[in-house]
Amino acid sequence: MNVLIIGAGKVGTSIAKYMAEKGHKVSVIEKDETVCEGFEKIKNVTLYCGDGCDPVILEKAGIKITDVVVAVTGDDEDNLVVAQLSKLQSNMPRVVSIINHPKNEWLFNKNWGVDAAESPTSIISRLIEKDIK
Amino acid sequence: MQIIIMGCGRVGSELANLLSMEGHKVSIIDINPKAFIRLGKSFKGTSVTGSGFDKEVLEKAGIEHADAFTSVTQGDNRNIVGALIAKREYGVPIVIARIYDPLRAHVYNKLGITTISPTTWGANKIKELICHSDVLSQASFGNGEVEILEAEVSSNLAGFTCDKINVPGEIMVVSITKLGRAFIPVVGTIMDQGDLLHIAVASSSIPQLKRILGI
Repeated sequence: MNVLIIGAGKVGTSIAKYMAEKGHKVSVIEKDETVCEGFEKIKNVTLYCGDGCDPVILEKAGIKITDVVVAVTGDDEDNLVVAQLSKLQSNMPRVVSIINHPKNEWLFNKNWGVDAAESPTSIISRLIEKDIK
Repeated sequence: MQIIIMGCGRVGSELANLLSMEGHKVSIIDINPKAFIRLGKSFKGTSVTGSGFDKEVLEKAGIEHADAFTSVTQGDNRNIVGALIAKREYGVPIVIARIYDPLRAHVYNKLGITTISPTTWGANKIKELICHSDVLSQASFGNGEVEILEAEVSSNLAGFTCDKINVPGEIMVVSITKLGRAFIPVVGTIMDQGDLLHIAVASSSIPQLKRILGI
């Protein structure tokens, strides 16, 4: 499977490693040059330094042959734009995203090009509430 | 009209004041309450502190009954998502997003949002002032791709029809003012010396038009 990850933060990097270990072909796009310079070399992972919300960069990173797009930047608007642009492709890859701000949860749905999304804040909050009960 | 502006920066505050002065009902949203200082005391509209993606904030600003929405924050992506929310989730009839990156503006147009790129518009305007200060632009459309220029009929064009000037898809005489009365030319209309022409021209064809007019 071809996996395209947008955002090489903690989440993006960990997913890249995990998917590569499973034998998938992984591409990562990161716009911060400093983060790109510090990105460790991982087998089967190719890093593209550039803006993942730029259609040209997405194409360079192989969006047209991608099966799953993983939008895990720290900005929800960027993740939503990535999802929109991905769905404009003819192959319509599956789009999975992180929700940084739980108040933005209402936007992360099929209407917005997102097939599945989770908010870490909401997950942890649910766990805390469950504990208290 | 009821208008919502997302982002109270230089453009947002200026726009809010202009619209409010014309009697429109304006709500302006910004995440930073200090940004509203820019509005000044004369602003009659409402200011709402919060994120333009937040349902509560948008509804407080009156998005459910808004006639127009525009996003003019510093972030292109924030502007496009804000605009899409207004259009998709609330069906606001007029939605405009400011996009700095001209390369992306056309992709976002594909998503059904009207975009304005001050980068393209500004560059076109400055180019025109540098290279074509001898022809006067009367109006500019889109991001400056099409202009209406004013020119007087010189002796070398007098006695000819507009076909002498028109180039399909590039240049077209849209109005002739003869002795103070303007009309739209038809096939065979003859131009006389001193007639005032209004010519629609693609900005890339301005040099060609200048050659035709003999300027």
